[in-house]
Amino acid sequence: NTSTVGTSSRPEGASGAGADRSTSSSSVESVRSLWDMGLALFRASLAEDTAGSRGTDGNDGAAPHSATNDVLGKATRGLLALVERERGGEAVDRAKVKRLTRAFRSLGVYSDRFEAPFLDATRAFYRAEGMTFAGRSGESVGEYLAHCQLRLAEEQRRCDDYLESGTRRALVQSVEKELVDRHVGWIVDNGFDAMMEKSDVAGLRRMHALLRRVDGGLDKLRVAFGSAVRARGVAVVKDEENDRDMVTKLLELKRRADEVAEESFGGDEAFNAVVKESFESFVNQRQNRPAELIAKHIDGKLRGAGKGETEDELEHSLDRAMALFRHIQGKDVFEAFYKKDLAKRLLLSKSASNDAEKSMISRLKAECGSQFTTKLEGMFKDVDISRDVMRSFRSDSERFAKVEAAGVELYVNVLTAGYWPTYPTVEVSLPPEMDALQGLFRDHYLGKHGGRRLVWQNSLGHCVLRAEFPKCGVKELAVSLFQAVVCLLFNGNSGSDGSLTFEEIRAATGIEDKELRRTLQSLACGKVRVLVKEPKGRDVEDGDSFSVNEQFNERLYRVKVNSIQLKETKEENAATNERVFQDRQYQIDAAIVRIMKTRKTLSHQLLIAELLAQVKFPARPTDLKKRIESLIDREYLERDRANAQVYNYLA
Amino acid sequence: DVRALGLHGVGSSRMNRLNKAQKDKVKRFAAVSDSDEKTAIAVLKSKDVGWDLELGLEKFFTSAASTFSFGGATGAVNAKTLELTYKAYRAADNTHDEDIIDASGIEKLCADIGIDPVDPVILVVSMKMNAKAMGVFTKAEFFAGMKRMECDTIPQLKLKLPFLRKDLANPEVFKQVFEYSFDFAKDETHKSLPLETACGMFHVLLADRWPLCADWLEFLQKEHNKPVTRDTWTQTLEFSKQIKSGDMKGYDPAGAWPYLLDEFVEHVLEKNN
Repeated sequence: NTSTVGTSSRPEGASGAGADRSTSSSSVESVRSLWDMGLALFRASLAEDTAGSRGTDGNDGAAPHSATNDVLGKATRGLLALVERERGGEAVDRAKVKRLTRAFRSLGVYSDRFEAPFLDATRAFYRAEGMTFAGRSGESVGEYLAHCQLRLAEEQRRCDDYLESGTRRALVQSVEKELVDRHVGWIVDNGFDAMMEKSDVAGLRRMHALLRRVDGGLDKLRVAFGSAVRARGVAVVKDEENDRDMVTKLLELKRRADEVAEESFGGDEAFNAVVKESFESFVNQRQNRPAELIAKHIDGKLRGAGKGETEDELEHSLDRAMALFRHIQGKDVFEAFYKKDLAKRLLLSKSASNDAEKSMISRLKAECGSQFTTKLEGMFKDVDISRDVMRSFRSDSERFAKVEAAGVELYVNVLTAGYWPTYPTVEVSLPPEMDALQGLFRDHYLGKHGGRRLVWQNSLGHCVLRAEFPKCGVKELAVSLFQAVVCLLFNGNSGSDGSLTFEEIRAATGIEDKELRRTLQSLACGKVRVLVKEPKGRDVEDGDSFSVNEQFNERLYRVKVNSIQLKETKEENAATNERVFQDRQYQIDAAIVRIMKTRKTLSHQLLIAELLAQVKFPARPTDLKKRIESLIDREYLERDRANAQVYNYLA
Repeated sequence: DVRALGLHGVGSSRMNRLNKAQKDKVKRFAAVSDSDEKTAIAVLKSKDVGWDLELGLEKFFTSAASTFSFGGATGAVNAKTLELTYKAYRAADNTHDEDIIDASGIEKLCADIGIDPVDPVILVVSMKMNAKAMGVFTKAEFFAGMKRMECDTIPQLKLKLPFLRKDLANPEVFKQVFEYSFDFAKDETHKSLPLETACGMFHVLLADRWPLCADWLEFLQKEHNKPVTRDTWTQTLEFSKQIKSGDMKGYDPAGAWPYLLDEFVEHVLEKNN
């Protein structure tokens, strides 16, 4: 059928016809040009139903499209069949089809008689194809998406090759609708998570490109992205068994999420925002611990944990850690731990890079305000000033001569109390030599700074003892002050009868019971044993006796005897957390009193709202309530007699 | 010049010449004896009282010449009769420093008027006496209370009980009794009420009026191992008036309830699910 029509139309208009056209059109307008008339006649004849009845010129109200049996109808059906075969993978004579569609166009019947049924057929085709593949379990979403892209490309080419350009838009939309839009749910729900898991950047890019074409597609994608990041984040944060890996895992998650947002989603701001929101939500799902762990992570870095890293890499690491920290709502916990760790680094000279330390301070200033960093800067200053103090002490010839005569090297760090973390004062009876040295320093210092008060922080002191052992000769032992005091007791006590009981040691050193047990445990029950304990065992019990370890035989010249045991660190951390908690309570109390003093009378709801606005850390209404009740009990506030929901300030 | 301005100016200026301790005593005397400051000062100032509060009250109540009557009372209460009644329950001379009715005396009193020691009406009686501590009625408190209730004998007191019970039905009075019970039951030196005592008192006061009382007591004993604060105590009454069913209908979680009550709600809702 098509061949009979195809060859005879010449829509381009050969020169001859053109001459005819122009001749006619210059005369009366209502008279059609010859060309047009010819077309009209041709069209009319095509529209004749082979059975004889009129076709689609609309008069008899017959169904306008391919249902008719006129030539046009048959032609259309034929064309559509060809298209379907081509879609099925067969090769088709495209040029021929093109001539046909052009003919339709010239005849003015393209939209009604061809395009409309073509689009219907297209939709039906793709609907069926979509149903066949999508929504089937086991079907790979990635492959489906690739297929969609192929189809879209194919249809575009088809349009270019043998359809009118006006059809393009509707055609592409039809494919999008049937293959993508109808199955957005399936695509996202089934495909997204697996691709995230595998970091299938290309697959996700394809998904993004396709979903971008349909209404609401990107929204759904964004939501899925957010959920995926959040789910993974929550799993990491709540995995209490693996706390020590939390920060590394979260940094990795951030890296992957950022990569996907950049590579697959084109750096779309909305997707970047989703990453931030997700992090913000899950990192705060657990109170305190994430902040503590980030501080510990940074501490590790600053101590030189990343030995293979260059300066730049270290700075990048710190930037990334800070990015994570930024999401944390309870920043005061981080501050407390950072301060504690910095103190240790400074006092034990453990900082790997002074530049890195200083750049961290700038970061913290930007993040937490100068109020926090002035104290930290004070700590650095104290260390520098102490160096100067020591210099002046050494030049204090009279006193320093006595120090030299004692044959002991002394170094003192003077800490300004307000800047440093608070340390518990632990009593100890120092051996007279040490006491004397402390006295010399104190006299020198107070001589220069009369109005000040010096308090020795014995728990922070550390010493190097030179010891001679029967088996390995002279060694240097790097120990804490308490360990040193205990060891010095055994001078002049060698041999098995030179043992001391726990009680004797306690009396001689004056060290508090629990601390002493820990100290003895670290000397006699750990990896490096300077002392031996009878009876053997992990814990120090009453009545245990201690003596020098005759069998001591360490390879290195300077031996470090670790005094920090795991339990102690746990206790230390618990204490820091406790202090933050207490501090928060004071802050809440102060805020309540401040607000009530100004307002005199305030409803419960409004008070809670004001508090939440004022308080700088996450606080639950329950916690706020407890503080309110405490203040009622302490008679700072009362409930209004007439209305229990209202509080009055009690002057 | 304030002093020139009328009679009440005179009284206040008398008060103004007293120190804080004395002012407190005047106030307490006036409250217990239902008299005015003027009388209070007069009695307390007198030589044989010498600002001893208990002594002053005793003197006031037992002064032989007086027959007391309350405004609009049906009959005067006879001091001598009261003295006899009192003696029947007074603690033996060698067991206490002061002249009081102690716990066993109170128990006997309850038995004699035919009430259970855990009957809430005893709290009304105590309140009438303005008794400061549980388990003790001082002589002055006993006298003042009986006077207020217009009784001087035990049978009279027994007859009075239905009226006192009726009083309890009045929500205003019940609230007074409830709040009074907190101070009454707690140790003077402490701010809060020990848990066991609190539970006992809650039971006495609320068991018959609040369907959730048993749940509340169970909750307190299982989950709350601390004393009960005054605020929690008073708010429990409010709570019991508003929320009466296990579904906690009427409870507003954003409300100003003490957190212990919030926890109670959570506890019950969890239990029921």
